[in-house]
This record gives sequence, C-alpha cells and structure tokens, in this order.
Amino acid sequence: MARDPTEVSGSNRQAARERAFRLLAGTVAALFLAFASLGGAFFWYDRSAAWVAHTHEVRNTIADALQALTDVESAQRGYILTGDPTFTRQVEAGRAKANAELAAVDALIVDNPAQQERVAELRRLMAKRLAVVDQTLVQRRAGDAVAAIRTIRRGEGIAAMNGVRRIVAELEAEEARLLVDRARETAIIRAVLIGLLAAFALVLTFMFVKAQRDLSLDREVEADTAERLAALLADRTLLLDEVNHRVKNSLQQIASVVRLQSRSVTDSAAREALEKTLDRIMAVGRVHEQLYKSGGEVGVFDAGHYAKTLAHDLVDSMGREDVQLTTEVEAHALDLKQAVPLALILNELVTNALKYGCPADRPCRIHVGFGTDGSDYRLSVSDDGTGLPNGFTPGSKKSLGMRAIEALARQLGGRFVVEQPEAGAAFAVVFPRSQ
Amino acid sequence: MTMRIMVVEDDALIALDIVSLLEDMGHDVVAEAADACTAWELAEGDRPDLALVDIRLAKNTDGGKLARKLYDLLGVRSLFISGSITEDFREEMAAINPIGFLGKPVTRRTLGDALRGVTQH
Repeated sequence: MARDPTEVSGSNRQAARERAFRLLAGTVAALFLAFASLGGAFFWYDRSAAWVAHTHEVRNTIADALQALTDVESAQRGYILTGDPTFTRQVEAGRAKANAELAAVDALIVDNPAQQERVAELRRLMAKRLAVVDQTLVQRRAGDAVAAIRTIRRGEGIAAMNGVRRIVAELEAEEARLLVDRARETAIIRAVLIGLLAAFALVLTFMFVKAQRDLSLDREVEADTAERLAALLADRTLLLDEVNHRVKNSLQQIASVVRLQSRSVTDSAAREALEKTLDRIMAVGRVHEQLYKSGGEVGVFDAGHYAKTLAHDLVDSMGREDVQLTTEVEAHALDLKQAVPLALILNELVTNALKYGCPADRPCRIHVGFGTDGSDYRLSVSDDGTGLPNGFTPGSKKSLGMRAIEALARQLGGRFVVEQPEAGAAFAVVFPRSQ
Repeated sequence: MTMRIMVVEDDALIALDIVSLLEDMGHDVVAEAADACTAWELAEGDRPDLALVDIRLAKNTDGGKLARKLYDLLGVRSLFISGSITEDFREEMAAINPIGFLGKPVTRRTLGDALRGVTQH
C-alpha cells in the first residue's frame, strides 16, 4: 500500500530538523568544553612556566650573593695592601649587596623549608666571614697590617667562606634539581596543550564535515519532497481531468436521451416539456464547463460572465433574428453552491421571456442584468412584450418554471421579485452575497 | 450543402443523438463506428467528406490517432467531440487541419455552428 507522500516527507523533514538541532547543541557544548579545558591548560602552563622562571631567579640571586661576598674579600685584600679608603667603601657596598641578595633569596624560597634551613646557615656563615673582614679592616686602619694578615692567617674567615661556598653549592644543587622537575612538568603541560588544540581542531573539522553532510541530506529530503508533491499534483490533475471528462460525458448521455425522446414524441406539449428539460440540462452543463475552464482556475464561477453567455446561447438557439438581447453584467465570483440554482433561474427567466414576451410574430427586446444591490446580488430579466396578465402572482399560475424559480430563490436565501414595468414584463431574483 | 459524414462515437445513445441531429440538418451519415479500427475500415470503403470523432473510443482506441490516419491517408478532416479537450491535444492536432473541437454536451446549435464553417467552403 502506498504511503501518503506528504506524511513521509514531513516526518523526514522533522527528523532532519531534530538532527540539525542536536548537532548544533553538541557543537556548542563541545566548543564550550574545549574552550574551558584550553583555558585551564593554558593557565596551568603559565603557572608552571612561572615556577621555572622563579627557580632561575633563585639561582641568580644566590650567585649574586656569593659574588657580592667575593667582591668584599677582594676589597678587603686591596685595603690591607694599600690602606686606600676607597676599598673600605667597596667593602661596605659589597656587604650591603650581599645582605640584600640574601634577604631576597630568603623571600624567594619561603615555600621550601629545606632551602630555608640552608639559607639560615648561609646567613650565619656570611656574618662570620664579614666579622673576620671587619676585624682585619679595623687592624689595618690602626696601621697594624701585620696583625691584620695574622688574623687572616688564622683561617677562620677562609673556613667561613668555604662554608658559604659549600652551602651555596647545596642551594644550587637543590634548585637545579627543582628546575629539572619543573621544566619537565612544563614540557608535559605544553604537550597536553598542543594535544588539546589538535583535538579541538579535530572536533571542529568533524562538526564541519557532519554539518555539511546533514545539509546535503536535508537538501536531498527537500528534493525528494518536491518530487513527491509534484507527483501528487500530477495525480490530482489527472484525476480531476478524468472526473471532468466523465461528468461531461454523463451530461451528454442524459441530453442525448432526452433529445432522442423529444424527437420521437408526437404530442407538441410533451415535446415542449422535453425541450425545456434539455435546456435545463444544458444550463447545468454550462455551469460545469465554466467551473472547469475559468482561465485554468478550477472551481471559480463568474456569475456575470455566465449570465451573458447563457442568455446569448438561449436567444441564439431560437434562431430568431428579430429578438434583440442586451446585457449589463458585473463580474462576480460566486460560491459554488450558488452556481447551479442561479443558472437554472436564469434559464427559466430567459426561456419565459422568449416564449411569452416575444411571440413568434413580434420583434422584441430582452434585457439581462446581474450586479450588486447593497449587500445583495440582483439578477434581472425583462422584456418589452405584452406584459403579464392583470393580477399575476408567481403562485397563482402553477407552472413548473415559476414554482422552480421561487424554490431556487429560497435555496439562495433570497426572494423572487415580479416588477411592474410600464411595458412588458420584468423579473428579478435578489439574494445575499454570502450565505 | 449535404455532406457525407462518418460518426465515430463509442456511446450508442450519444451516437444515435448525433446522427439524428446531422440528419435533421440534412446531412448523410454514411458510416458509424464505436472504435478506431472499425472506423478506419469503414472510412476506406465509404470515403466520407468528414468525420465526427470522439477522442476516447471503444476497445481503448484513440480518436486522435484515427483522425491523423484519416487525414494523412484519405484526406478526411475531423471534427472532434469530447468531454475533455486539452490545450495539448489542440496543439497536437493542429497539423491535421481539424474542422474544430466540440465540448460535450453538444447542442443542436454548437454542432450546427461547427459544421457551418465547412459547408461554406
């Protein structure tokens, strides 16, 4: 069994939309996560790199402290040899620098208790070394260079300085070990960061490719839908053509039977009745034809156009050259339900006008009008014949035609009006524009 | 002017009606057929002046093809009578110089008008 194509394609479209939405949500979540982890990794890397820089700084500061102390020793020797006070100033500057660097180291390694112990020992040894230097300087200033040299020879200062070098070497070794650790950690983090970036790029590429594929899938579904709809439309058109053909053929069959019957009867009244019936069938047939044609738009009934065409057809079919038909119609699209009743009313009115208003021996004029009248439509047919008998009312003469007009006018929700013109007869049907 | 006419229509009563109308107008109906094959055989023997052809015929035969053959081989022009005459069909048949295309239901007047064109030639 064939599935309804609109339903199938509709659910396909729905599925495609849901897929696209899920993809978008996934993309946003993935981007957010990737961005957060990249940010975290970068922060982590930054901290790690800062630790490496810190270790370098500690090492430099320790080296500077040692250098300052060495400078103090050089200046001490210069002063003892020359007595030049410039050297004492250099000693003071070196001392100040050594103390400042030591304080800086102390502040830098505040996180590391083992190093702190070493720095405390370093401070003690440096103080001792500087104390020996101070003692020699005092002796030399007093002019006793020999005493100063003796003090140096005692070796306390040198021992303290050796201690300083040993502690510095220990501090250095520890910092060097830390540096290796931290550099390794930094390298790992860098690798992680690069990995994350690569993964991020991969995810983006995947999303892009998937989005592209989904888009092309969606386009395929759309093309498929259009194809199905076109097929459906073609089917519908074919079906409509078929129905139209059958209706017209059926009308022709009915008309043919009636015409054949009217030909075979000899009684003139019976023949006239059959001819009238044929006219009524044809009036309905013309409604169908106009509904189907209407400039390609199926189902539109232009009452004005219909009234004009039918009136001309009826008058022409009489073959009377002496009947002059005038029409005054406005184009109005009527509801389909109103089409057939209006057609039959018009058929009766024009047939009556031809029969009673224009007897065979008398030339005459017939006027057909259709247009709006306030909120109503008004269809009117008049002739300039001999007019109605006195006291005529539609109900008084129980002809089928008059009864039919009244009934059809009621069906349209309107009324049948018999007017009183100065000459001839005039009828109208007035009915609301919308029911 | 009296013409010798062939009527090709698959519905018997419609055919009878059309034949009656044509005879009322004073024409001779020389052949009647419900399908294209019979119509062709009759046309070859009777050589009508023109043919009234329904488009959809009995035994699933095609009035359009019949009309084409009638015109191409015998020089007989056709007047099409059908419930469904499409623009495509009109264009397709333009080459065989049809007398006209008449929509159903046919009236005495529409049939008369369609044939008047031919008799005046």
